[in-house]
Amino acid sequence: MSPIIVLEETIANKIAAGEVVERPASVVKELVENSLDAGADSIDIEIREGGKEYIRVVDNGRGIPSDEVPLAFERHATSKIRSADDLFRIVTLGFRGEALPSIAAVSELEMVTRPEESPMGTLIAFSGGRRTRLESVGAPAGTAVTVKRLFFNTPARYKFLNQAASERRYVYDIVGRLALANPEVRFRLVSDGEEIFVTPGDGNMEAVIWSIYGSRVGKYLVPVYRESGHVVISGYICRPEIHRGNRQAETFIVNGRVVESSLLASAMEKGYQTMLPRRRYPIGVLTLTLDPSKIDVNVHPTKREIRLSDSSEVYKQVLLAVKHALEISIPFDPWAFPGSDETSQDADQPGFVQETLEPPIVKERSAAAVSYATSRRETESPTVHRHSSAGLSPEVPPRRTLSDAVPSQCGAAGTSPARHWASHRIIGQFQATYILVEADRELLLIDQHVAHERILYEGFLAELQTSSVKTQPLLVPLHLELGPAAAARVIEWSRKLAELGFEVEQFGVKDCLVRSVPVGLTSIAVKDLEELLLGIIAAGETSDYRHNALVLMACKGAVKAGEELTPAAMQDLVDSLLSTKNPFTCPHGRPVIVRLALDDIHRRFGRR
Amino acid sequence: MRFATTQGEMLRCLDMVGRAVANRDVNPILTGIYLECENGRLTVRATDSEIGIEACTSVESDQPGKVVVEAKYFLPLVRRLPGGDVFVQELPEHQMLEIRAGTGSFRFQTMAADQFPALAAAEPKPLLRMPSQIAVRMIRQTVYAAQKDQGHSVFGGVLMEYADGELRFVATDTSRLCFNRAAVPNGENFKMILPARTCVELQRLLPSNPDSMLEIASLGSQVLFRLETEDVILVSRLLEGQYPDYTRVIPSQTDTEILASCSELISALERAELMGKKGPAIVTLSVEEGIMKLESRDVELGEANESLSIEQKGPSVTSAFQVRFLLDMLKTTDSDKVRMGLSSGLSPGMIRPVDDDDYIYVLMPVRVI
Ligand SMILES: Nc1ncnc2c1ncn2[C@@H]1O[C@H](COP(=O)(O)OP(=O)(O)OP(=O)(O)O)[C@@H](O)[C@H]1O
Ligand SMILES: [Mg+2]
Repeated sequence: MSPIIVLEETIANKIAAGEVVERPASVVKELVENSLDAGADSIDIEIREGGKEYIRVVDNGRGIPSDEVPLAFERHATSKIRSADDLFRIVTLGFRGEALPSIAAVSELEMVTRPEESPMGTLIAFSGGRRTRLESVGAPAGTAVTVKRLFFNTPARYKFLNQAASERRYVYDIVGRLALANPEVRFRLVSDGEEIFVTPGDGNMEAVIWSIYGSRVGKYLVPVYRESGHVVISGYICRPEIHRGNRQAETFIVNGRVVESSLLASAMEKGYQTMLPRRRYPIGVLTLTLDPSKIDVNVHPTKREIRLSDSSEVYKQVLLAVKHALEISIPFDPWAFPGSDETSQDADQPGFVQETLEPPIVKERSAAAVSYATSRRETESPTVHRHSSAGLSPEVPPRRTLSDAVPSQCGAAGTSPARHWASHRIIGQFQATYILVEADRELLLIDQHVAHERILYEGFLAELQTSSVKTQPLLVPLHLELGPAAAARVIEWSRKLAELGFEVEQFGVKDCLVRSVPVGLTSIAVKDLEELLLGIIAAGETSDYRHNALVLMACKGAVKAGEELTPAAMQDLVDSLLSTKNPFTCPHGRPVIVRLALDDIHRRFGRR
Repeated sequence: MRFATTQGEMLRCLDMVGRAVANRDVNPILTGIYLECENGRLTVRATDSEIGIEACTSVESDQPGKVVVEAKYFLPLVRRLPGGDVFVQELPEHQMLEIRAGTGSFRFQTMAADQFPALAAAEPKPLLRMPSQIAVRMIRQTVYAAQKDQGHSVFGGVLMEYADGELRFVATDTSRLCFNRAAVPNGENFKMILPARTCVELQRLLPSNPDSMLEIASLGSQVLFRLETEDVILVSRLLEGQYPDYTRVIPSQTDTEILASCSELISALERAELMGKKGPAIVTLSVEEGIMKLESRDVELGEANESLSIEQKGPSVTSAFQVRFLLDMLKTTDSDKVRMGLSSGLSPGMIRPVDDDDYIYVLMPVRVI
């Protein structure tokens, strides 16, 4: 990142000034956004007493060089924009250079930070805006900010805070939304010593939704994707069987920024058409990507709101994205003609509207807001209204497994298996590629290769996340004849490969010896192993190389299309698939299951 | 061609060769079964060019000849015929084969028999002759350790070697290795790598009859097995390549030796095996003071723990293994007790039946990083 500089007066004035720090949740939001801007891929948030007494945010981001640390606490000091023009191309979350000084002014703040390349870190501390410490300390790479006794020097504002229980909900809400907006970042939220959630940070938004909302919501998710002109919409929404009494669970992320927008909210709701009961609101997370010059984020001091210059077009696209996702989600009608896209002429499109909706957290201060924590434990009772052809069966209680009795070892999303169907029966294999399954009133076609990929991927991921990668040392090391260049690359990568469970060593100048492989890939053929290692390396040293590696590993380890499977093997595969976090799409994003509803088949045969 | 035999005898021959019929019609003739009759001898043959099987039987015949009929229909027909006599004759003018049994009469189109490949040009001299039962045991106790469906790699095969008056079978998928041997006198030394499938097909053909004898011969890049008593031959392609030196892999000793009940161990491991929801189940074996503790866990599922009392010689030791690897071996032993050699660290473990030094299983422990 570029060094921090003080913005010129004129630019500073262009930035709408305002209160940055409203309540503990806003402190958390500012600190987490700073961590995200600093490129962190793991952020730990801990609060006590709803954040009123204690807030701590620890990241593994870039850190601040020691000579710039004091500057970071000066008003309008930012490393993120340089000039007024930059304001129209904002890609970072922060840009005002206002957050840290504002927080430091009303609390006891301590920051310890160290860029990876500096040998020593810096500790800086403030009390009510007065600097109390500035020293060099040993510290892990990254930044840790602790904020204690918020508003201790402004008793009037302190009095304005709510009970810890309700402040806590605001914190859960904002951290949840930030986690949804950043699925490639691992978030861990702890409140009064209790872990509220951990997201896997593997780039999979669906997994984040599972972590935050739990299995009830997770298993009713429908993927959304739509690309048009200058907006790309993607994300997940929940099927209409599940809904809430407020808009709290509607999350919109525009160009990486979590925003409040009644325009987007009503577009999403409209997309459900008549499927939701009155005064009930959907659950969903939509990510919109559009040209940064088409949005203005500097509308509100807390950056919560945005202004869109193409609002009616965006409204229409969001509506259609949601509508289509719901249409194709459950009752898969393989014989239907594709509908026209341009059906929204009848949709009431508002013109250019500036979003002025009060964010729900303010509005619902007095109302009986549903507790985030309890809604996470599924307070809503879904009206399972039988969909013409969805053939949903009433939910079966989750099977009691050993994990009920044993303390969960699972560090990541502690989700229970997705049970979409009450029962399923393997019919057989088609073309040695697809497994046919009867599941309640649906016929499922399961692609055996991608299904197995999904299973293996989750297995490898769980091992990596819980630091329990299991590797099988080889009795007979495998000899890869790679040629000098490739062999050298593999050796350069040997530390990263070891983390994934591959132990490689040099063998002459042209060859490598593989001494162990991940347990899931035991008895991989030499040729496949070679392709796999080169594939992992080819992705380059992006922060994402692990995800790529796991995808490739799953692919190599999975049964191939064209391989005949015994009935027992098919049963195993399908059982494991249905217990994965997301049985519907493979790690590459391809569908795993195609569902044919009985009613559609009946109709096809003219039975109804 | 014209001959008479019984439905039972005919079916016996067809069942033997049926598995060698090519199921995809790379070469359409190979989806057929070749029948040849000469001097009162019926030869039935099928091949998919990887392996070929030929079975013979005596029949009453007054006209020699040869035909090829499509296996997919001919075999089920013979299976469904009533027991008793069967009359088979070629109708060359119609290019048909007629089969009569009971009151029924059936005709099949035939294919050109000249184009059907022979299995071996000449009868090679056998390298080794031995009781079939030995081969049955040796295959059963090795073939599972070969890699499945790995094309032409040597790890997808079983090394069959004769030296120093003993026949040895070795298979490894690189993480574990099976070694099996039997003393067989009067052979000529050889070393071949059989595809795993060949072993499986051979095993299927080999009878349990204790008098049955098996001959092994080389055809250069192929191997020929002859079942004398049954009058059956199997010819298979061999795998090419260098088989790793297995003698370096088998440890000469281990730190701790354990004597355990095979059936107890199998049932405990079968329970532990359930702790592998998304990957292979791993079990940690901790041996201390005559007790072996088995522990396995799955991050998403839970864990299993149990203890077996065993006899222990040597210090306490802990090692983790893939459950399947242990079960594979234990399920193929005939003894009710096994000797297990464990060493700490990353040295391989070893399992042998209690009273048998001819079957050795070596496996690498799993490491958690
Ligand atoms: N966690 C962090 N890791 C690395 N650098 C940080 C971190 N937090 C703050 N900084 C540095 O301190 C500067 C000031 O942060 P501050 O939050 O006050 O302003 P900002 O993020 O630039 O803008 P805004 O007021 O809109 O948040 C940032 O520009 C950044 O360079
Ligand atoms: Mg900031």
